[in-house]
Amino acid sequence: MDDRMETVVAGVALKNPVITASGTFGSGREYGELIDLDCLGAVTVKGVSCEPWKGNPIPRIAETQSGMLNSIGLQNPGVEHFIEHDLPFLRQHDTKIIVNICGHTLAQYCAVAERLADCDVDMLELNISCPNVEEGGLAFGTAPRMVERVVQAVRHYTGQPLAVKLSPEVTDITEIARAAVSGGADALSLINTLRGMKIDIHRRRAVLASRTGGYSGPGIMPVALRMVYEVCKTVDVPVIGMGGIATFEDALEFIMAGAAAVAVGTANFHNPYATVEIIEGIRGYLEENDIASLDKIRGIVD
Amino acid sequence: MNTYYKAAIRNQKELMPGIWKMELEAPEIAHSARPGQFIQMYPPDERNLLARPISLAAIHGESVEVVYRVVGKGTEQFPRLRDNDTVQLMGPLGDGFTLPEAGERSVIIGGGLGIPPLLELSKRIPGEAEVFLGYADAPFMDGDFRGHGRKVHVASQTGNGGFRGTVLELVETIAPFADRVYACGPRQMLQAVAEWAGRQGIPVQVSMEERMACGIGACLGCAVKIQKPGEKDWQYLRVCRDGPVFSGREVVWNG
Repeated sequence: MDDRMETVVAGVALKNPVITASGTFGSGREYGELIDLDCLGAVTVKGVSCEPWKGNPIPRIAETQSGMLNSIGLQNPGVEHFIEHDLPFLRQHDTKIIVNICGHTLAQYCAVAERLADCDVDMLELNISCPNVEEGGLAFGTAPRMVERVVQAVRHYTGQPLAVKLSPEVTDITEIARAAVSGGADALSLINTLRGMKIDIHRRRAVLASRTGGYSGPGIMPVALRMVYEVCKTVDVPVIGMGGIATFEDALEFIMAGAAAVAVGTANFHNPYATVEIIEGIRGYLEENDIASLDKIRGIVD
Repeated sequence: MNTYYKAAIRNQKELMPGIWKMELEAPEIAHSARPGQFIQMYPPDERNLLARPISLAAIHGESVEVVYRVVGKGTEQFPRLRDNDTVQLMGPLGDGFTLPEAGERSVIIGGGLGIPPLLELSKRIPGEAEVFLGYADAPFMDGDFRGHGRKVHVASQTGNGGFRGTVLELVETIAPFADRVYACGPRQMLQAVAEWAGRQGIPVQVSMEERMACGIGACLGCAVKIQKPGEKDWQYLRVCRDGPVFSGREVVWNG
């Protein structure tokens, strides 16, 4: 292990700061045919709900300039399937496992957290960008009161390190960050996708069946970086920075903004080796500049 | 075995206005690919993040052939590539067609850009196979099917090349005997073919298309509604990983 690259997030020691972003990497099986999963700091798996979710109608994908839209609808076969099929697969690898969990009600979030509480996972990542069906479909992550409540509720059911993934669709990200920490978050992940839209002018209709979808890719990086920077200045818990990271230079920007670790998402679609190249790039940067550890540059931008 | 690498381009030419054929020097893909599989081709301009899924039309010793239509900002970059230019590829991907059993007779039905993915299949079917190709107007690649000795029937909307009408109308007119049906083309055509084959109790394999991101089954972008026999409800499967070839009986065509 290279000590320079080691990163601790909420008590979990990662061999390097590069994680896969939820929803872009499945449970690692498919990308594991191309890259060595043991290289990764951690794998964050695709969102897991207590019951299977069917997902949204097609088309679910639209390309935009330097980015893409998705509206998958968190299709997943449910937590039992995850525990039986995906967890044992990932455990064969020398990497940490972060399980992204989702729900449409407080009770659904709690049920999946409770089911995973005794499982061999390293961290939970709470996706609070889902619509809360008990509050008229308003996303959990948009109101500090709801954020605190859902984090508190899930916290009650799990002793595992808990990261909360923040939605950027808010007026003040630092207010939401504080609410998550006050609810009991051990770490924060940000940002989730921004909502976007694309219209096919020839067919005169939205490209996505759901009309709108989550916008990701290099286009969102300046927004993500700004939010990570602001949140790191506001709260004391570690931040996993993400949003448009495609190169090691991008990753270093997030670390200099204060991120403890980074997650790579959409870049995997453009280049399945993106994570591996980013890890090598960061290592090279530290060596060339004779930097003894990531701590020396983390949050260096004031 | 899926691979990700840059391949050199050879012999790119325009078959029809907007429809191009190119050869890719891709031994790793050529050695392991099966008919019905596809590759992801990455547009050279990095502002187009997503690769374009393109079916393999032919698999030679060290190279593969693809046929694509220029439809937008991604695919319009490919015709500019010259001999020896390279293009980033990933593949071979997906599950291909299952070949017929010895002694079975096959019917192959293709429509438009759904025709190229059937060529290698047609070459590899050991027994009898009759080929039905449907076009909007002028036919292309029909000669390639005749080239390896297949009987080819052509239909087009304009009557150009023979029968005027849809490819399925032509199939129904000729009423070929078949133990197996293979089809690739626009969704409505596939649905009509699947229904026709279903009425006659003939197993039908259809090759589907959908917008994709990762191409390997991780993102769940390219979903298709499938209802497996004995299951109470449909589920979304992945075109890229669970397909692109599905049993026409299992596809939920409406809704």
